[in-house]
Amino acid sequence: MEGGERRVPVRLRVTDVSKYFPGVQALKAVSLEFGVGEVHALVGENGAGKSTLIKILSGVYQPDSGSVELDGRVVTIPNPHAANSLGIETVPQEIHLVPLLSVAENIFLGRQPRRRVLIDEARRNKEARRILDDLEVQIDPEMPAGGLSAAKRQMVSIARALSTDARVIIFDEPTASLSQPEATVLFATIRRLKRRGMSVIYISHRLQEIFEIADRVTVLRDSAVIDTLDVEGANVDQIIAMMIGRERSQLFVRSEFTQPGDTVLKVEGLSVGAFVRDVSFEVRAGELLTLAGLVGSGRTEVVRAIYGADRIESGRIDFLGRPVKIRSPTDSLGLGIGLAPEDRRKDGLVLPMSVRENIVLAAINSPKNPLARPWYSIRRVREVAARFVQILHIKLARLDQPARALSGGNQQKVVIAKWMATDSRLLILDEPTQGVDVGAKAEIYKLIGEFLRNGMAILMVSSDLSEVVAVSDRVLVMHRGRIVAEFDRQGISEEGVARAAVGQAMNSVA
Amino acid sequence: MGTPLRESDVAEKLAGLEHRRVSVAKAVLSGGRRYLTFVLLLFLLACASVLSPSFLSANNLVSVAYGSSVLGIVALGQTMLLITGNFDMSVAGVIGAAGIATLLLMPFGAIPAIFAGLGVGLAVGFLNGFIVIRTNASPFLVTLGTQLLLYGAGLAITQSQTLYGDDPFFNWIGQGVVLGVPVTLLAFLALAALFQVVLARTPYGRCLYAIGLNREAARLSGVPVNRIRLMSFMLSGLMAALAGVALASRLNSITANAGLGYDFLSIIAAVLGGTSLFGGRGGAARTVAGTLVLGLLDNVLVLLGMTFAFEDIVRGAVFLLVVGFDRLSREER
Amino acid sequence: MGGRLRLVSRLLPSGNQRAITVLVIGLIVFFSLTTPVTFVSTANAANLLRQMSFNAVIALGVVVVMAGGGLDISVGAVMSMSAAVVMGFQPHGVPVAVVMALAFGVAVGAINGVMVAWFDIVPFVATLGTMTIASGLVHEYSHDMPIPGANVAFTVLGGGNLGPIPVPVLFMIGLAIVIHVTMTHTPFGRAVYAVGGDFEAARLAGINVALTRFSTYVISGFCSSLAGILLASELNTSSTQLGIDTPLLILAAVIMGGASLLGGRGTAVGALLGVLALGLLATGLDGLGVQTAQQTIIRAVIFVAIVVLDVVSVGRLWARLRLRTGLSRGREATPM
Repeated sequence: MEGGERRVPVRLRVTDVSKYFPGVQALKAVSLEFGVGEVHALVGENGAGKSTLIKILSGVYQPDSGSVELDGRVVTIPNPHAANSLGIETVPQEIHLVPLLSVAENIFLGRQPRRRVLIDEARRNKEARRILDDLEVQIDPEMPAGGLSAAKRQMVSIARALSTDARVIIFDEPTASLSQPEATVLFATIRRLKRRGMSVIYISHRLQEIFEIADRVTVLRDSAVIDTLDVEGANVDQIIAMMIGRERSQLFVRSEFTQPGDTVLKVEGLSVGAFVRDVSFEVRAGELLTLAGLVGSGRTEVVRAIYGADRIESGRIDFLGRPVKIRSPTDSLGLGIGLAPEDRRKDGLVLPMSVRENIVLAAINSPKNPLARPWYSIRRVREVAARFVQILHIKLARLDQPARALSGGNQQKVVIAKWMATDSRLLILDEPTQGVDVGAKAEIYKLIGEFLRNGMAILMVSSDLSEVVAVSDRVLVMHRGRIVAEFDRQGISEEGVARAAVGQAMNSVA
Repeated sequence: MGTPLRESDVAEKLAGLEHRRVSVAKAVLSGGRRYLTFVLLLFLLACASVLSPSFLSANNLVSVAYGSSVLGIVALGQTMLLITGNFDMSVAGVIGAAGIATLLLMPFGAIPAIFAGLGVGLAVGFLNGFIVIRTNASPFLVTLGTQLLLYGAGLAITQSQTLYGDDPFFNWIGQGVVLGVPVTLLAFLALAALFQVVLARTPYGRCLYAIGLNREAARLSGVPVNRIRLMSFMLSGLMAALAGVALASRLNSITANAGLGYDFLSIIAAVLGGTSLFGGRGGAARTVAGTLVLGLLDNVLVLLGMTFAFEDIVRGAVFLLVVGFDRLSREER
Repeated sequence: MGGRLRLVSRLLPSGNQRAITVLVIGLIVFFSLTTPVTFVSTANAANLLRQMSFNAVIALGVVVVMAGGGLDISVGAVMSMSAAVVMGFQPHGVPVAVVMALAFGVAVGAINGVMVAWFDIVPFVATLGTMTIASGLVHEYSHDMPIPGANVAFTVLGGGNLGPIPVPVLFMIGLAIVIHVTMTHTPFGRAVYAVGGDFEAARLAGINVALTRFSTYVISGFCSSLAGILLASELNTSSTQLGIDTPLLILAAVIMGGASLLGGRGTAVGALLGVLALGLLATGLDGLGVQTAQQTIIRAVIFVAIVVLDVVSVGRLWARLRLRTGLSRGREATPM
């Protein structure tokens, strides 16, 4: 289903492409056209299918069904090099350049021009200079690639794509690490590419950008195409509505919103790293405060800094009414703060270790915890672990089995169990239900409800709008490192949060 | 509305499928790996007894084990450190330095002298740990440097001469016998038992594995990672010092380069026993087995009439074979 | 003048290496002023260069391995065994002996390369294993006796002179030129830096990373055996005592000259400078009458300082370059 008239010839056509992974349908019969000299944006929430589609086009995955046509001919793309030879290039989110090699070498890495045995450096540098000049970018091709800023690295990546006669360029979240002026330069470059007939596929979360640079936009949701619109004539609300969808899951709506108690955590003027600035808020006992916003808006940085995992540039933290200096997670543990990190497999669990050991890992270092005695009684550990497994309905074969073998939902429950075993006063949850199946989600929400009833304070980071709206007492929206909006129970709405997240605040209450 | 799906979860599902298919083969291999060392041990014992009927006598076995006990003590300390994913090349220098310190201070009495020697080990361990943790430099290179430093200091102090020492209590450590078992061997086995218990039954021990398997996850779980790593470096130094004291006691003398080769050998013993250089795997009992395999290997070669040189060759070959087997059976990390 | 400056900055691309050059010059000046005997003389220089050339040849191979992100501690043992082989095969004629010795080095390098590149065995472990085997082989093959030389012509390689220049120094310079050109101007050399510098970038660029890593180990093995041949020729004998200190010394020299355990850096010139600096230090201290013990301590302190500085500066540089753009190493860090 396409919108708008066909004004430009089609370069790349995807017809009825589907992709299935064990347990999940990643793409459902997606059909799209990408025109010559056109910027076609793909938007959708995390997991909507954008990544999978891109990976199929760049040869990383193979479609289960459907076809891909390039300039009218059906093509197969068995691997990334095939994609490159067909002229399909990607400018990835994470750009890999060899730091000590020159820019020109990076552009031509693996296919440097040769004169007999040796590399023809003069020719290579000249060619690189020509491409960079074409892009109207000021980079000395002979300087080492290591010292470049993110924006310049991206330019080098684009240059590399152009050095191979590309006809389709895919940009994956290109402005994630760019400043406003740098993004403007990027757009000028993309327009230049357009004028030369390049087909540009542009993936981004940032809707204002779409309006600035794209000709057409396709919204993906739940692995299918919802609609393709001409950007001219479309508006933000329309697109947001398509991304969110009409149905809201009634998985769980909190039945009771208790009156919160004393302030457990107070943060004032927190600045972290390079771009999180001046964040202040409070969380009270029995209250669930959610930090909403786009990926990269600084929410994880804030919670990690509070927890002591990263350094604080400036700011003050009060816990249970007293100012505290948290220099490491060990300090947090001592105070009674727990963190379920965003990447549970990498940072939340020791995957090769058994489930029961993971459950008690924090407790055994927690002062005054019965499990922290010098003698580690396997029997007692087993009891404690078994108790939590039962309470949380963690599905496993044996307590001894490695955490690696559990499903996403069960793994998250193990992480939560770890903090339940330490009797925390404040629990920080970073994307707790991402990658978790519906049933486990409901159980986790129920748990959260119980924690709140027992007086725990919870600080949650979430990108799932329906979740944010369903379970939060209050919501703070972050955008580019600052808090831009606050919603209380009455004022929460998905549209409101989504708008604030993309920088279009409706009712910002600082 | 469906559940938002993360790329990593898709990868996870894919991996899960792969995992199930390959895991049967891996299960066999990794189960085998666990017993490989013991199998090797039994195999060597069998060979030895075939070559020399009296090999399996209690006396002889004790003597064989005794021969490996100094190395074993070093290997035990090394193992504790290896589990956290670090290692200690300075043991070769600590052995000499501790022995020298002990013999030098012998005139003040055996006990103070021994404490001095052990103190050297603790101090070196602290230094190693401090530098590695603070600067994030390679443990290999830093401890190689401290090894050289100790060796040089030892040379300077002893003027490249051999030091001699004699004291009844002191001698007893290296040469004494209790109920037919040499003291050093008893110490080795007792320490192994102690470490095994610590590894299995104390928070410190369990945290060692966690740190080795996933340092960041352990840190985020509140484990005092740097403190534990420092303690492990000191423990390794302490064990090397103890080995030095025992060696000096056994020979009644010590030279600056007495510890030559113990750095690589202790790692080989630990790895043979199943300790992984990446950290997170290993155990005291297994290291005992690995040490004994090395010792038996030597014995068998002697029985076969082969020269000393062959020891190195066979050791190296067995080491690589075990490591290769390890690689095949190990899960992807 | 501009042209010469350009040459200097191309030969010494990193600050590290310029610092070392300054250090070398400084050491020469220092020792000439403080040594009772004349420090700077043609004879002295020729002798110093000859002695350092053996280590330099090995260092040139090691620098290639480390640029590719690897590590080879078997170099000393390979050198020693090659020396034994070349002496032991002399009855068959010098050319045969040389070929056999080189073949040995290449074979060990190939074994190391296969283990690291295709079996994914940690370089430290792989080369530890081959080191152990090779040391044993030396003892076994030579039956623990030095193997005397039978052929006077052979000693030219290590002990002879071409005019004022010792022959092994010519080998060293020649090898350095070959390695320098390879690393700077051939696709293979640049691929080595790519593999060591950002594994993922190299892989994505279509470089055959396994073959590249394998080749670096073969080169290292070859260089070690060449060094062994030259050394055996100079001494006109082989001995089981050769090469024991070598890995540490070479590592120190190569890291001083700009290489790093983290991979992706290091040049032929830097390696030579590092070996020269350490050689000067040793000779100078000898001339001053400093004992072996003190020398060892001094070397150790310098080594640790280099290692720490290496990580602190290179590591931080690396981290800054990569973290700025959220890069990953793309490969599990080695336990080293």
